[in-house]
Order: sequence, then structure tokens, then C-alpha cells
Amino acid sequence: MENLITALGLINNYEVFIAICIGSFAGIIFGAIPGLTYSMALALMLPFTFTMQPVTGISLLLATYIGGMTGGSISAILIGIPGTPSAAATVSDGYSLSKKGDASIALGTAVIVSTIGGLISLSLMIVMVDFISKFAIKFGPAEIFMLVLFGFSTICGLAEKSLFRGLVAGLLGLMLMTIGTDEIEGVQRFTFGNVQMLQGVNLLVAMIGLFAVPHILEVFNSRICDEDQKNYDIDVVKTKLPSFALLKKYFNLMLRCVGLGTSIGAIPGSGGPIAAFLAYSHAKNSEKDLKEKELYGKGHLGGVIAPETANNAVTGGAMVPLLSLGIPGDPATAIILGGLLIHGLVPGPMLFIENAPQVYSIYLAILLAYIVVFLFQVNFIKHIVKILRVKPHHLAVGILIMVVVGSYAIRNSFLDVNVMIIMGLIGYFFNRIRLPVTPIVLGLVLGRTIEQEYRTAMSLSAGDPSIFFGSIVCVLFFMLIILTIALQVRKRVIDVRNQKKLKEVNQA
Amino acid sequence: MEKSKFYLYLGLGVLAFSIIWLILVFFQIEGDLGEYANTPRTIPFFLGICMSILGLVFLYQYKLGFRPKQSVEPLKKNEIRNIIICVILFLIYAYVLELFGFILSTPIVIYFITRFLLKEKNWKLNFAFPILMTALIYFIFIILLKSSLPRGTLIQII
Amino acid sequence: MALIKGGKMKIVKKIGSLIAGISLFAMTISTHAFAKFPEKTVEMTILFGGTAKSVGQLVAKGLEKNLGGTVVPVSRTGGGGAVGYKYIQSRPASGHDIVWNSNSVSTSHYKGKTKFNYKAFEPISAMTTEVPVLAVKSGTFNSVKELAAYVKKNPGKLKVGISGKGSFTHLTSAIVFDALGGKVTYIPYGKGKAPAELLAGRIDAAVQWPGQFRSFHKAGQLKMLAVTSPNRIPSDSNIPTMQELGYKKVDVVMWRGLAAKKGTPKAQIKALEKAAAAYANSSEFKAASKKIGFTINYLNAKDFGKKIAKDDKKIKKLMNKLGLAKK
Repeated sequence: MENLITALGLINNYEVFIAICIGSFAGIIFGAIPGLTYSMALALMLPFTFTMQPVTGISLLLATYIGGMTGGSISAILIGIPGTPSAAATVSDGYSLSKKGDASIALGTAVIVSTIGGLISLSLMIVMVDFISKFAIKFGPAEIFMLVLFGFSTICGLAEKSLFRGLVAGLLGLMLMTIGTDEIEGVQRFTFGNVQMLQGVNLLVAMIGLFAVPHILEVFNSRICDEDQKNYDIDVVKTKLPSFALLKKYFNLMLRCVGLGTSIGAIPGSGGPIAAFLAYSHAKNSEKDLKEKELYGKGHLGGVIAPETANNAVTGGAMVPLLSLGIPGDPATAIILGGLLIHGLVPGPMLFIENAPQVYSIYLAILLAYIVVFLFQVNFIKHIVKILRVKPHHLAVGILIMVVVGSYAIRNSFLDVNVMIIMGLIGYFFNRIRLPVTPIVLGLVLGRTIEQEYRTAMSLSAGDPSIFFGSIVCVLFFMLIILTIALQVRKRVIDVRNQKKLKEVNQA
Repeated sequence: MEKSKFYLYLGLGVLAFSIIWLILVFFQIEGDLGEYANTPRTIPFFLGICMSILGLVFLYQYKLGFRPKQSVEPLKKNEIRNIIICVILFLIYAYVLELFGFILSTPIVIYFITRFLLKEKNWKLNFAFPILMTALIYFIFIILLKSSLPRGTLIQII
Repeated sequence: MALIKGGKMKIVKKIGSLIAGISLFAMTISTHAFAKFPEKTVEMTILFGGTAKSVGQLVAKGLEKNLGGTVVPVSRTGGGGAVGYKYIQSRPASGHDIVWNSNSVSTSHYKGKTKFNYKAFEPISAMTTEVPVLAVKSGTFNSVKELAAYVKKNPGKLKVGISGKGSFTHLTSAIVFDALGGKVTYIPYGKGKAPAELLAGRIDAAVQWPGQFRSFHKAGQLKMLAVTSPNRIPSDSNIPTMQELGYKKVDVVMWRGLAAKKGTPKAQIKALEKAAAAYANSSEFKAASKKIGFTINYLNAKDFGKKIAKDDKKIKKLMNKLGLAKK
């Protein structure tokens, strides 16, 4: 209680409020514009939080995250293009609804279920974080190593279409993270004798490069080639909130989707898109009325409610491993982790003992951000939609400015600007040959942890690798890893068989 | 049906990268291999080996005649040139930023980009946009959120 | 710039002359010698994050107030301080680039990360010290004596957590356990994890900054056994020093202070020293020291220089002994 009051004091400050408003607004816009993602918004914002007060900076990031998760539905519903990957599942029914002329009610429902989903998952998260962090103090280096390895196997497997392509990207991320000073022995690695290289690849710089630069390159490229990218012209829209009876009808579905979203968010390496698609198919399959079931895909409100509830519930779930173990589940939470670390808040079990007021202020900031996002979307949707009319290259110029200023400002180092450009080129190249980029980021994020925990565990056991199977938790995670990989391989084998069959059919 | 060369190139690329990496592991990291598998070299070495295995897997896939589900788009006309221009732009802006600071360099650079690179014709937009953009970022980050932006080493305003 | 062709050449020329004009203007500003110091913004390079950064930012603000010019703290982290030191060495010795330095000037040199040593810098003033403390889990060892007896009996068995090999906590631990007279095993773990690892019993002892242990010590979960400074520290005055307990050789503190590149004119050093002294004695700084948990320990340029030289010798000897120094 005492902590809550201190937290209220921390957050009761006009700067925090402004930060939340700006974050929500930026999040909604970046979420709504196809091609820009909220991860990009977060990466661009982060460098500027360095000199802010801790609570202000973190509120800014959290509000951006939440705004982005919610904003993706706007363009999914209005123009049938998901603003962020998480909103992809909303497209089929949302866009159908707006073609039928029900855009207002679809938007209104999306906003309100997003908020409800987010808030329920927030309360679930508070309970879970508390429980896990008490348990997590027993997690030693070996256990954390196995957990991160499990997260890594899900990233490269579940999250991407192809296991091997995902692995290439993931390994590249891990490799990049070993450049610079080795933190355990203090030895130089891959520095070519250059003192600047000692600082290594900064995670934040790499993320700015990977998320924002390919977009700028694409837009500029097509603009110079005189292939103007189209901007979206949208009629005036309003948000109409659904009736209470309607919400009551779907309340059961919403609860289930919250549970689904929160638990999927809590697994490192999964995230919004997976949760949204699972929730969508769950909603469709659980519908008993055959007539109603027919309507899914043709403009059923349930097809908006389920994915939107689930992808916002992911925000709460993803905060669980982040706050209790210090392991981010997706790029967005990885950036928030960066924001926490800058201000000396080291996530893990100790955070709740040493920085309890800050943790409570994080909870309050999330709550406040949901309220602000809700109000924005209900009252200002008309103006927000206008942003979609801005020409892509004008936005790209703005992003270019933020990219360079941000990557330079992090450590005032030109090396970082160069690293940003190189990472951007890697991202662009990977996009072109259709290799996934997300695993690179997660490799970068988890790389330090994997190596450190591995080596600490090995020094604790004096070089005996059996420490990695020394506890039930370790064995459990090991089995989960095997399961994830086995599932992947099985899927792959089936794919190959199908392809072969297809070939035979073609030849016959 | 023509055989897709995608996996051949991908496999060779990955393999070449992993070999270079493994060589670098031995030249760029000091220290012995140690008693246990627990030195600064361990993890990079392991990663290099994994990467080379992946390269071999891709080559094997090529041999089996796999084709990627989505084909890779061919290079657009002038694509490489355009990208090089963008990279130079990044570097120029970063350099100007260090010399003159945020407030001076940003509008100038934005003006040049929109006017010449993006060929924006509307002259009102050409003047208003750089100034508004700079003012917006300055207002949000310095005035509202009390953050800081780079100041120049040659000229200092702010 | 293949984009700009033909008819646009005129504009390009105009722009070219404009740029030339601007840079000429800039040059005249920057090279014009003013008699007054500081003639432009003083940049204070900060080498680390965490407490080093927060105290550094305070000092920069304090200097600004007492110097009559702007002082900006700029973080240049990486390589155990080497990146920042190298940056200072690359700047002109005009006093406008100063560094918030620490013992890391010696450790990074002997680790082979920087070619220059402490002699490449002109000391300005020492500002603060931070003192590591030896801690164990409550109920395992009640005093340093018990710990010493255990270490002597079971060489190599005690697991001591350090932040990383060659880190300052590693060096301090080496001095402490050398004095206790026994061999121990060092476990490098991530930064800031000492309390959790101690509580879970995965390591037996750790030498770290008191801020990490204080709340656990008060709650009775961990026990701070001794501090490594010659005098007790004000923030934890109930913890005895190693010297009080009979280990006379133990005298390790981490100092932080200000330095500039060698060759900076005396007048500039004097001006900075004066401003630093004024801030070190201000009530504002004293209040901050209580809040953040460091000790104010002001030394003037001359004494600071002696201290650096003395510590450098100590660190050199120690790192050679531990086999950390690069030959």
C-alpha cells in the first residue's frame, strides 16, 4: 500500500502525463500506418528517454507499445491492410464489416475490446509477475540458460515460416552480440584492434537499423524510381461504441481470448500475430450456431473481437517474463527492457524488492495509457485517420531524422551511426531475399544472457555440463525445447511429403 | 521446370560467412581454449559451427531440388544506386549534425532531401515542411519531455 | 550525386557557395581565441552507466553553476572506460573536454585496451569515493574471522561472486581474500545479480557496492561483514572496516574525479579545480551523497595526482599477480 502511494506520487506529474499522451498518439499512428510498426516507434523513441526522469521515459515507451497494439486495427478495418502484423487476423472480418458500411461499429468494438482485453491481462499480469518472481529467485544460471534456449527455439520455430531460415537469422543475431568486450573475462573480441569497436554492437542501435532503415530505403527507392507509393484516402469516419448487450453476449469469448493472449504473450519468442490468429480460429470453431459460423470471414463481429482482445492481452503476458525474469519475449518488450536498464531498473526478482514503487508506477502507467488510448481512439479517430493521407516519403524523411539523431545520441558515437546503417542494409537485404528479421533481433536481445548464464553455470560447476540437467526446472525446459523442435521437424517433413505428392500429381 | 538456384546461393553464402567467422574466432579473440568449454572463444566458435551446418543443410536442400515458396523479386532498375545514395545521405546528415547541431542542420538536410532527392514540386511545402518537422521534434523532445538533442561542436545554439 | 544534372548545376553552385560560407563563418567562431575560460561548452565524458553516470551528471550540473559556462555530460561508454579515454586523447588539450574518471584509467591500461596510461591525463580534482563491502548470506558466516577460518581450512572451496574477471570487484576480492590467507574460486556473473545469487546460496560471498546489499542487510537476509576502506563509511557506519578487524593491508576504494588531457593550460585546470571544490563543499552535493550512497572525498589536483600514481602501482602489481595484465 505504501508503495502504491509512493508510485502515485511518482506518476502524478504533468511530464508523465504528457509522455503518456505523446506515446499513445505516436503508437496509434505508427500502428495504423501500414509499413510502420510500433516496434519501430519504440526504437525511435528510446534514445530520447535517456535524459528523462525514469518514470517519464518508461511511461512514454509503455504508452507507445499499447497505442501501437491498438492502432493496428484502424487500418485493418478501414483499408483492409494490417497496420501491424498483430492486426492481420482482424482484416478479414473487420474489412468486410466496413465494406458493408459498418466501419464505425467495427472500430468502436475493436477499441473497447482492446481496452478490456488489455486491462484484464494487466491484472492477470500483476498476479503472475508476483508469483513468478517469488519463484524465480530459485532460478540459477543453468535454469535461466535453459529457459532462454527454450525461448530461442520457439522464436526460430513457431514465429517464422521456416525453421532453417529463422535459425540463420537467429544465429546471426547471436554472433553480432559477441562483438566487442567480453563481459566475463574482459577480453576483446572481433575488434580488429580498434578501441571504438570495444563498445560492441549496441542493441538499440541495431534495432533502429533493422526496423526503421529498410522502410526508409524502400520508400526512397520507389520515390526516386518515380513509382509513387499510394497514400490512402479515407472517408470521414466516427467511432461508435457497441451496446452493452452486445458486449455481454461476447463477454465469455473475450475472457477466453484474454487467457489465450496472456499465456501466449508470456512465452518468450511468440507474440501478437500468433495469439491473434489462434484467437480468431478459436472464436470461429467455438461458435455453435452454424449460421453464425458461416458469417466468419464475411463480416462477423466476433472475428474482430477475438483477435483484438487477444493481441492486446499479449501486452500483459509479455510483461511477465520481462519483469520477473528479465527476459523479453519480442522485439517491442526488448526495447522496453532497454529503457528499464538505462534507468538502472534491472528486471528480475530483485526489482520487486529494491524498486517496488517504480514497479507500481509501471502498472499505473499501463493503466493510464489504456485509458488515454481509449479516449484518443473514440474522440479523435477522425483526425488520426487523416495521418494515413500523408505521403509516405514525407513520413520517411521524418523517420530518417529520428533514426540518425537517435543512433548518434545513444553514445555520441559515429560508430553507432555506421552500425545502424550496416544493420539497416542487412535488414533490407534479408527482406529482399525473404529471410525473417525478427530472429536477428531476438538473437541480439538474448545473446548476452545466453552466453553469460552458460559461462557462469559452467564456472559454478567447474566445467561439468551436467549442471544443465541438475534440476527439475532444467529438465522441464529441456523437454519443451525438444518438443518444439520435434514439432517443427514434423511439420517440415509433412510439407516435403506434400510437395512431393504435388509433383507426382503434376507429372502424372 | 527449371531448378531454383536460391538455396545454392543461400547455402554458399552462409557457408562462406561461417568459415570467415571461424577464422576470425581464432585470430581476433585472445586466450587459450581452456580446461573446460568455458572461455571467451567457446560461444562464438559454437555459433560458427552451427552456421556452417546450416549452410550445408541449404546446399542439401538445393540438391533435393527445393524451391522457395515465394520467389525473390529481381533487382529494380537503379536500386543499388538509390540505396547507395540513401546511405551517403545518412552519413552526411550525421556529419553535419555533429558539426552544427540539431537545430541548424536538420532543416537544411530535410530541405535538400525533399527538394532534390524526392523531387517535391510544391514550393510552399518545401519550405514549410523542414521547419515544421524540426520544430515538432524540438518541441516534443526538448520542451515537453526535457530530453536533449545533439549540439554542434562548431556552432552551438540551444 | 547523379541526380542533379544539367539545368540544376546553377543551383548546385549556389548551394556550394552557401555551404562554404556557413563553414567559414563557423571556423571563425571556433578558432577565435577568447581570453575567458570556458569559451564554449565544456564536455564531460562519462565512462560508465549506473551510479557513475548519475553522480557524473550531478557534478556536471554543479560545475556549470560554479564555472559560469555550460557543462554537458556526454556518455561514451564501452571497453571498461577505454572508449571514453581514447576520445579525450583525440581532442585538443584546451580544457573543454574533461573526463569523469576512476581507477579504470589504470585497469584499462594494464589490460591492454589503451596504449597510454594515467600520465596522459592532467588531474583536476578527486570528488567521490565508493567503498566495496564484503557480504554473505545470514546464518552462514557471522564474522570475517569465521570466514577466514573456513577459507584456510578449505582452499578453493568458497565461491566468491565477482562482476567479471578483471573488474574492480574482482581486484578488491583478490585483495580481501589474499589478506584472509586462503584460496577461493571466483564466479563471474552478470552485473547487479549479487544479492539474488547470495540469497539462493549459489555463491558464498561477494564483494560489491553497499547500495546493492543495504536493504537485505536491514531485512536480515544478508550480512555485510566489513568494508574495505581505512575509515568507516558514513552511509553504513555500523559496518567495521577490514583494518579494524586486523587486516591492516586492506585499503581499497574506488575514487572518481575529474581529469583533462595532458598539456591543458594551467589556468584552465585551476578554473575547473576551483569550480569542483566549490561544488564538493556545497550542501546540495552532500544531500545527493546521502541519497545515492557515495562518500564525498575532495582532493585538489596535486593530491589527486599522487593518489592516482599510488593506486596505479598497486593495481599493476595486483593484475600481474592475478595474471590479468597483458604482457
